[in-house]
Parts: sequence; C-alpha cells; structure tokens
Amino acid sequence: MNIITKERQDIEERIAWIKSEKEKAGLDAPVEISAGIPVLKEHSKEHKILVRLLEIIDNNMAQDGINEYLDKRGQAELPPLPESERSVFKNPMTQRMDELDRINKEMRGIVSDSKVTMSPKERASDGNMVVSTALPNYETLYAMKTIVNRGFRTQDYYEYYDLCAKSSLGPISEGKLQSLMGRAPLASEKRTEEELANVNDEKIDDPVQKAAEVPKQEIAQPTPEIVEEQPTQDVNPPIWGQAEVEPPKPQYNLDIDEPAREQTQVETKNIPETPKPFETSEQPIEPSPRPTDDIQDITKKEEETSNPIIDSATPAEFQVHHDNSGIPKSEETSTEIPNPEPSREDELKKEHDNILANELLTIQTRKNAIKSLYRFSNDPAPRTTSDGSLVQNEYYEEYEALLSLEKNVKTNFQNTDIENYRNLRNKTKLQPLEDGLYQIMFTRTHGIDATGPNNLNFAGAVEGPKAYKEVVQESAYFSEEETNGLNPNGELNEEKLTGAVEGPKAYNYKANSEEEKIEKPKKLFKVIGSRAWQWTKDHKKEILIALGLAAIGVSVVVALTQLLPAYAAATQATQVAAFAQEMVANSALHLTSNATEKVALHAANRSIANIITGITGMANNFNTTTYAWTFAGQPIADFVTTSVANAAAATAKVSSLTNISTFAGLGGLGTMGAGLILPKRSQEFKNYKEHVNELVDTASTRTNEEQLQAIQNLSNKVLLSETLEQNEKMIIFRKLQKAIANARTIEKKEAQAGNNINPEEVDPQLVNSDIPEENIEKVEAEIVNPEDLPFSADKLHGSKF
Amino acid sequence: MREDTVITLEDGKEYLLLLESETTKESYFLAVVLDANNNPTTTYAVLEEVDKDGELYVEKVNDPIILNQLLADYRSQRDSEIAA
Repeated sequence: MNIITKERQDIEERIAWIKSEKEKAGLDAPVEISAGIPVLKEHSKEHKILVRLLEIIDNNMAQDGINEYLDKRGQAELPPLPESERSVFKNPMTQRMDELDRINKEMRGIVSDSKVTMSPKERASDGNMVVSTALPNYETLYAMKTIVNRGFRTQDYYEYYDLCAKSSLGPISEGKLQSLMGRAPLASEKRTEEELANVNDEKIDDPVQKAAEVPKQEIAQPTPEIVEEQPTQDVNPPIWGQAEVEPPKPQYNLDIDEPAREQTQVETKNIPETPKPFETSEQPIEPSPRPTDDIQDITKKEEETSNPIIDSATPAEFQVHHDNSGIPKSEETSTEIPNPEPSREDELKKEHDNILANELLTIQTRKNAIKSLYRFSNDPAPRTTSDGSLVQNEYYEEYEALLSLEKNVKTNFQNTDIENYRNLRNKTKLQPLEDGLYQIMFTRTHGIDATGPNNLNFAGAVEGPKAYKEVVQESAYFSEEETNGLNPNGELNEEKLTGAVEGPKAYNYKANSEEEKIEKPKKLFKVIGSRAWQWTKDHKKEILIALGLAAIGVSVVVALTQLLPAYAAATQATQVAAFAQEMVANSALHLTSNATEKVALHAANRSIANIITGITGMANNFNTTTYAWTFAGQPIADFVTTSVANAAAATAKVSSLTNISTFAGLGGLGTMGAGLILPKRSQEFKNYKEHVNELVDTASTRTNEEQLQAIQNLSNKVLLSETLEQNEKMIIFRKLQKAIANARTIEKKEAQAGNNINPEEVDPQLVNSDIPEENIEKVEAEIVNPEDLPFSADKLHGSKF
Repeated sequence: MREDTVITLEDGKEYLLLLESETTKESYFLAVVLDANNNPTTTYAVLEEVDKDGELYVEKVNDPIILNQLLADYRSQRDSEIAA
C-alpha cells in the first residue's frame, strides 16, 4: 500500500473515531460544529485539521506554502510518518523542484567527472560529453529530467518510476510517484506490489556498471522535445488559461502625436480652467524666491495645492521652491507647444476606429478561448474549422460564426449588412451590442452612403462630416448639445448613455502577428545612449522627484476634476477586466516559456487572481486536475468576456462626461489599481528588488544556465515568502520576467551572431592532443545551436504548477 | 532602462530617470531633462519604455488618466523613501 493511501486510511480512521466519541458521549457533552458535523469540543480543532488534510490529499497535495500538510499533520493524532516519506507530503511544486535539482546535480556530477578523465567519451543527447560507460545512466537521468520539465505527462504511469529505478539516483516509492504525478494510477494502470518490487529488484548497487552492461537500445530514450506549439497535434496542452496566443493589442488613442516643435515658455497661469486633453508631458516650473531649502516645505506645499483628485486650484497658485535648492537654474525653462485641440470630427473618427478595434479584439479573444477550451477537454473527436483549428463539437458553430464576424470587420463590412451581422453575432456568446453601436460600426467615418445607413461600402465619402454627425446623433450615441454628457439643464441624460461600447479602449496586449492589426501610429524616440548618474550634494533626488510630481499634478488636476465619480467606478471595472485578460495572456505565454518563467507566470497569476477577488469579492480557484482558473465558478474565458463588457459600460459613461475622446483606461497599463498602491514598502521587498537588479547587473559573469538557475532560485524564495505582500510579490515577479526576457534576448542575439560555443563544452582532449590536424574534428562542425539542443533551457517545458 | 541613469534620445535630449513605476506592467519613468552642462532643468516628462524589434525606444506620456495613476505610484514610492 503506498504511503498516501495509508495516510488517507489513517486520517479516515481517526475521523471515524472522533465521530464515534461524539456518539458515545451524552447529550450534555459540549459539542462544536466542525466541517458541518457536530463533534466533541475537545476534538473540534483536530477534526478541522483532519478534514483539511483530506482535502489536500484529494487535491493531489496542492497546499498553501511548502509544508502546510506536514505542519498541520503535526497537530493531529496520527501515526508518525517514516522520515523517508515525509517529502511525499510537501507541496508538489516544491517536490518537483527538488526532484529537478536532484537530477541536475547528478548530471552535473557526471559531466564534471567526465571532464577530468581521459576515458573514451561520447556526446549525450543534450550535447554534453560524457564518459561512455556513464552514458546510459546519463541518458536515463536526462529522460527523467525531460519528464519533470514536461509536467510528468507520460504515456505510461510508471515510466518515471522505472527510470528512477534504473538510474544512479535510486528508486522512489509509489507514494512519491503519485505525489509527483499529481494523481493516483487508474485501475487499468495500477501495478501489483509484486510488479513494483520486481522493478526495484533489478536495480543493482552500481547503476553505472549495470547500465553499461545493458545494450544501449534498452535504455529508455528521451522523449522528443516539442519545440514549437502544434495547434492541431498538441500533446502538451497548456496548463492554465484559455488563450493559445495573445490577443491583439488595442492601441491607445492619444490625443496628439509628438511632432518636433519649437520650445517656448508656457506660463502656468494660462492653462485654461475647462477640462482639456493633457497636451504635453513637460511642464516648466516657474522659480519663485523662497528663503528656505527644505524638502518638507516643498512636499507640504505640493500636498496643499496639487492634489489632482480634490484640489481644483489653478496652476497659477502652485509654486515650487527653487532658488536655494542647490539646483542650478537653467536657460531651458520651456515646454513644447501643445497641438491644436482636435476637432469633433476627428474625435468621432477616432471613436469609430476604436470601436472597430475593440470589436475585433472581442472576437479574437473569444476565438482563442474556444481553441484553448478544446485543449483542456482532451476531446477525442474534435472538429476542424475552416481556418484549420481544432475545437470541440459544441463550439464549432460559434467558432465559424466568429470567423465570419472577424472577416466582416476586417473588410469593413463590405459584404454584409447590419441584420446579417447581428444574426451572426447572436450565434456567439459575445455580449450583445446596442443598435446605436451597430449604426456607428456600419457607417463610414466621413459620411453615409446615399443609399442609406445600411449600405456598408466604406470606399469613398459621399457626404462630409456633417452627415456623419447627423447619423451619430440619430444613433443616440452623441449629441451636439451634450458635449459633456449633460443635458441643457445640467443633468446627466441617462437616455443618451447607451453604455454599449464594446470593450475598453486600451488593453495592453501584444498584437497577434498572424492577425491583421489595426494600429495607431506612436511617436517613439529611439534611445541611442545610456550612462550612469552619480548623485552629488547639489543634486538632491528627493527634490527633483517632488518637483516632477508637482509638474504632473498641475497638468492632471484640471483634466480630471470633473471625472471623479464615474472615473472611480470605471477604474475598478477596467482594472478587473485588464487583470483577467492579463491572466489569460500569462497563460498563453506558458506555451513558450521555460521552467523558470512558468513558475513566475503561475505565481503572477496567483497574485492577480487574489487581487481580482479582493476587488470583486468573487472567490478564485485553480483546479489542479483541469489546470483551469475560475471566478465564483465561472471559467476564466467567460469571466473575461463578462468583465470586458462591464468595463466597457463603465468607460462609456466616463467618456460621455468628458471631451477626452477616448478613455485610455488604466486597464491598459496592467496596473494594480490606485487602491492597491503599496502604502509602505517592506525592507524585504526592497532587498528583493535589489537582488533582481544585481542579477541583471552581474548577468555577464554567469552562463545562461546559471543565470536562469539564479533567477529560478530567487523566484522560488519570493513565491514562498510568507512576509511579502501579494502586491510586492507581483512587482518582483514582473521585474524577474523582464530580466528573464532580457537574458533570452541576449542569448538569441549571441546565437545569431555565431557565439555558440560554451568554452566549457569544448572537449579538452581535442585541444590537448597532438593528433594531426587533418584528423581533428572541425569545431565548427560540432557547434550546436543552443536553440536546437533538446536540453537547452529555451526548450524545457515547465511542470504543471 | 533603470533609475539613476541618463538616457540620450535620437533628438539629442538627455533625460535623467528619477523613478520607475512599480504598480504598472509597463515601465514608466519620471524623468527630468538635462541641459548641456549636465544639470537638471525644470522640465519634466514621463517616459514609457518601449521595446520594438529589439531596440529601445521611449514614448512621452500625455494622457492625464495614465499620469494620474502614475502620480499615485510615484508618490507612494517617494513617501516610502521619506518614511524609511
């Protein structure tokens, strides 16, 4: 009987005993309700613990932290566990990491030993040179490592068990196998005790010698790595999330570009009182004479006058101490000339384009979700859609409808009309659109076709902007009189707020390279140089930061004063939608991520899920059997659709209250929300941030594998820290993700530049021998592109954490 | 890009990066323009770090809603430093 089965038995026996004690006791005995049943008061705590232990076992040892199970077990009256089996009850993620460490260490030892001997060597599957006699064992370890990195997905349940028995690491128990596999064997898979014992009996004391005696072809061959995602023949379904690829990135619709402009001085008192789009990010600070040089005075003054949420003080009242701060005055006290305010027609055109972009995003998000649902289902009889994707039968009609919708949007509705498009849309699970929105989508940006609003030929304007405005007014989306969403009486006209803008205006998704993009031009400035800055006494960082914050505060206060109530609601709704979609994006990244990134991605998703729960109150759950996230029981794909629609309604209301033509939306930032700003950063958090920076700075002193290992170690520590806040962990994981991405970019660049040889990999025998030159294998021929190595870090699939 | 570094843009301007946003997925830096004598001026900007085709770019942020969110982020960092 394996240890987990025995453990369950012991727990159930103990629970049964507790129940029997309750029955034996009289009616007067004090009782408490534990897990829905009455137990004697003195047994209540233990009963709760035992129920939790069973829950952990039922969830394949998924638990909070590394040792929740063992810690709680210590408080229950259960038989002691054999020391060798304690690790079976640790967090499975930790167990797999430990297993990977164990295998890596053994393999490194073999490679190191091989380097210091003159014995004949052969090249192993991972490219390392290994003594021939140790090669079979090495290949076995490599096969084990592949299984670990693949998340223990094997055709035969006992494959890893058999490999362990043959390797120099020795056999593992069946309980350990079950814990690592994340499930018990099916009835058809289960081996008898005798069969299990036979495998272990074959193991001899010297596995290397034994392995050398076995013909090479009998050693388990490493399972081929899946290098690229195969959409139709995927044997490794994604672990989380629903999206196969990242949805396209809707672009911010900034009010202005950044042309090269002459810089002139702008007086702060000339900033108008009415809300206007913020037109420049560079504001001058007028120096004003003050006798003191005190950062506290500056911050206090800033707090009094420049709170962008509450204070409606005009910029002219905002003064910043400058003269005695030690900051030299500069001749360059200027800013860029703001662009002329965009016309109403331009705003409406941008609005129209954004609506189409959002519609496309919504459709493609739903498509990706359906494709991912098939992967989770392991449906044995999927249907192939017209674009070659595999989907479950129940989603086939919807998927085909989505394809048609997508084509219609991309071709500007040339071959369809509103009714057909609406009917097609009703076949999908997308949120319905208001009639007015259909009208806007099907109307050309510069007018309507003379044959009527349903004629959808976008080519060639027939009438001018006035006609477009009339159509828009008819659709009850905008009214000329209601420039700020208020009727002439100054009241909010609820009838005009359709709230039906589909999708928020800006989510930060990377564009899907396979999909056509609807992009807005960005004014980017290339960075051509970078150098460190040494702070001197005269340059006080705190003062500069305070002045910078003041500059921002001055600019935003006017624009945002009128937006507050709707802004707060829209902020929250947009954030939830953005978080949900970030989880989906993280899950999609899993497919091309290595082991380190997978850990970071899942940890990030865990943090995000908790934040969503904090905002919405909807409990989150990660099912370790199906590897799916749900919110209040709702699968994440559906939750995304719902939250996007909620955010759209909220943002539409904000848009109607302001002349800012698009609500850029905080969701586009992937933020954690103003309400979740860290009130104070713990010292531990600061230390970890420094560690990440140090990792990045010292990357050149490590090999790529060492760097990724170092990142993984740090990631593990952060993940398992019990003192860091969720937000703090999220920040660090994001920095780590950037560090990983940078490391991989550098690795790829080096590989492309031909810098593929790790000097440690060069066989010293070739270097030191006096074999005639013509007999020396050309090094170039031996070069293995790291990207092609099945063992390379890029190709490793992570475990199903 | 990191805090306490100076970046030079293709238009010749130099920016000293003061703070990096912590609560955003993207990297937004509060920056001050340096003059020819390597001294901070009174002109500030918020720069978004953009990685395009392996090259590093920045985009100047104008949107007041984004700036407002960043303001809270930067204030939080500054307050934390002062309190430390």
